[in-house]
Amino acid sequence: MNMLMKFFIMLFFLVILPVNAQDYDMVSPESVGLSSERLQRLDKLLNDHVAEEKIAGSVVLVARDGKLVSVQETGLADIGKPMKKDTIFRIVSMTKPITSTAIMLLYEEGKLLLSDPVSKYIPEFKNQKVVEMLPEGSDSKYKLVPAKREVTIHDLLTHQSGILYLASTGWFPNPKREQVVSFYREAGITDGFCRPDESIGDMVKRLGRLPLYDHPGEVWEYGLSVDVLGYLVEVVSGMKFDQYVQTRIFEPLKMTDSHFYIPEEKLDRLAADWNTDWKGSLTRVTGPLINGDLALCPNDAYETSGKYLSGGANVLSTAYDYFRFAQMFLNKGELDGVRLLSRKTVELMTATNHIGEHDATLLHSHGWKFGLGFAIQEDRSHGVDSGDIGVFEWAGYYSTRFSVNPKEKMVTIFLSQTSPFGAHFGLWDKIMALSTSTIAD
Amino acid sequence: MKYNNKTLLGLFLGMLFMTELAMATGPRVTQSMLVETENEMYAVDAPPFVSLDVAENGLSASIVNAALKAVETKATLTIFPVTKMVTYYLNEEQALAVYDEYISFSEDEKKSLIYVPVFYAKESYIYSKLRYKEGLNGQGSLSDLSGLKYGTHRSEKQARSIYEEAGIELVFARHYALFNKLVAGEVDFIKMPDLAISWMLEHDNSVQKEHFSTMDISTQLVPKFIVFNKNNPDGEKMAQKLKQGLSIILENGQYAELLKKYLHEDDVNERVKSLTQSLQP
Repeated sequence: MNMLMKFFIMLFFLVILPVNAQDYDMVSPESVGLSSERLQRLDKLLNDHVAEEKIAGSVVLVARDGKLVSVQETGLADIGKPMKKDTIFRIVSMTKPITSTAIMLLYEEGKLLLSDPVSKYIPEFKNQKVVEMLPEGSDSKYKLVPAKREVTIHDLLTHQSGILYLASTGWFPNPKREQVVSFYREAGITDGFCRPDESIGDMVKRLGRLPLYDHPGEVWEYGLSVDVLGYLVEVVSGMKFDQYVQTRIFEPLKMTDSHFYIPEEKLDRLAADWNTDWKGSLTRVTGPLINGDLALCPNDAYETSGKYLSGGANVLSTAYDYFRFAQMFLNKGELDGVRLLSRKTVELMTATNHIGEHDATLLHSHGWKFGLGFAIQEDRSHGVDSGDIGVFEWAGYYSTRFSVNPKEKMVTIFLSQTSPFGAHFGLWDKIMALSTSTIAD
Repeated sequence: MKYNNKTLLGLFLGMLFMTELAMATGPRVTQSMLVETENEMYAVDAPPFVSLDVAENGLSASIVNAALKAVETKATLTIFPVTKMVTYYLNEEQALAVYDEYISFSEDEKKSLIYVPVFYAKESYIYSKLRYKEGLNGQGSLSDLSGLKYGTHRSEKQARSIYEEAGIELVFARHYALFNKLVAGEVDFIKMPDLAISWMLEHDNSVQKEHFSTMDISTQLVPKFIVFNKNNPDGEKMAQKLKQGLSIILENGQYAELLKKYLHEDDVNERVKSLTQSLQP
């Protein structure tokens, strides 16, 4: 072999192979008890949605027994740019399980207890007040009463802190919520869907001094609790939140395409966000999406650096990376020989009795509880059919969703970038139903 | 089913034991962890005057603490990020005292308030040299600034007509927001206390000190007040105590030392004199 030939062979291994890193190690569906034919129904569902211009494109990943069965890309990632298996998405609230995992790593090191009051680490959370509305005709609309007890780390993990999202005034409007959010507005609190020019600590310290919507532990209210946890990671670990997640979660799990701010060299892999009317009108989003208190800035994801590190919404990732994260949970805390969490911690995170009589009804209906980072199906007496008792999952604002089925050892991930959020529940549920229906053993 | 005495005794002891266990693993967070406060006053976060982000809660808070300590009185300062919460405590819970220069009171409300000055601030007009490379100066006349946007705090609302007649558009906001508007080019110049300007230039990493300059327009010292509530049973008594305490620390030099520490100025005589005069009966 002459020198020139050797050079080209080396070039092939050094340059060509890494470019095709999206060719994942796959197995046939039948080898893990799934049906190829049924899997095609899932592909058809997404292809039809793209053809009807209800969504621009998506990546759907199905895995069983820890083996990748299908990573199917459909449609466009951006104008003139086809969707790829390794396209990067704004996973928004699918950041929350990652942040919860960061907290549980600190818990396993004995650096915090879930029963610890948050004020032990962030003093601004001491002596919190709760808004109580007064009857109509009273001199004042509301009064502030001392919280019956302090907010704990467990409250934050399970959304029982009484901390809101501003956007919730649009989801579930009521006078009390409006009153609490009016404090948030004046204090410059944001939901983190746009990236403000301040540190997460600055925002959280202001939030801690504002009144709660309800007494800690007496409410299930999806909100900024996990953003507080992100800052808590900084306080307890002494590291910036993104650095902690990078070194303690992304690197051990080899989530090489997961970032808080996208590296410049990966910008062309970031999918665009699209607005859909769900009837065939699809437009690429070019600016902020503002609707009342809901403020979304999908184009902030193109920023390659910034101050704000939202534990509830910041992360960008791929279907494959998130599969590795989800598979770690399915394996009870371990992946490819790397143990991230102990089996007992995963069992604690996926237990269904964290929120008492409350239901995690934002994404689902009744019958779903909330663990430490995601919703968990407790029973089948609800209207959403997506699998077995014990399934745990969560979603993201630009239409992303993951689902882990411990009984069937399956992971399903759907990533799209389509607004508005509310229109996608039907599609998500169909994806989960079709994914589960591929089981043929 | 029959129970003998031994079984019942066993069950009873078992229940006692279980109760003990349940208590031992009960909630770690209780109401008793919440701190009782004494002579609670409320302020809106306004660094570097009053803030949790500043050592000893800032200049104004340090002065109030030192003055009350001089008359052997304890007080707690609770700092909120929003005016709305401070006004709530003042109006709805008859708070003892509040500190926020942005709260505006009606003439009727002022009748139930006692204003105690704690500090005289020097204010300056500043502009961005990136925008006005040749400088921006009124040359002693407001009309030279006609057509420009001026960012200031609401206390200048009363002087609005002067600026409007000169063709200057007023934009009202809090200090931090004003500074951000100046950086963003949304206003042409702003007026702020020198101490606040220095603090923001030091703490905002996205700006450089040399990009900002002071306009050649003279300003007067402006008093910063803590406002006591006559409707609170202790309001008038505490206002009087604070005045006494201020007089003591003015006289023993502690007040001047505090000013020097926070302002990094050697000559604080004018400010000391202003406060001394304002405390005269």
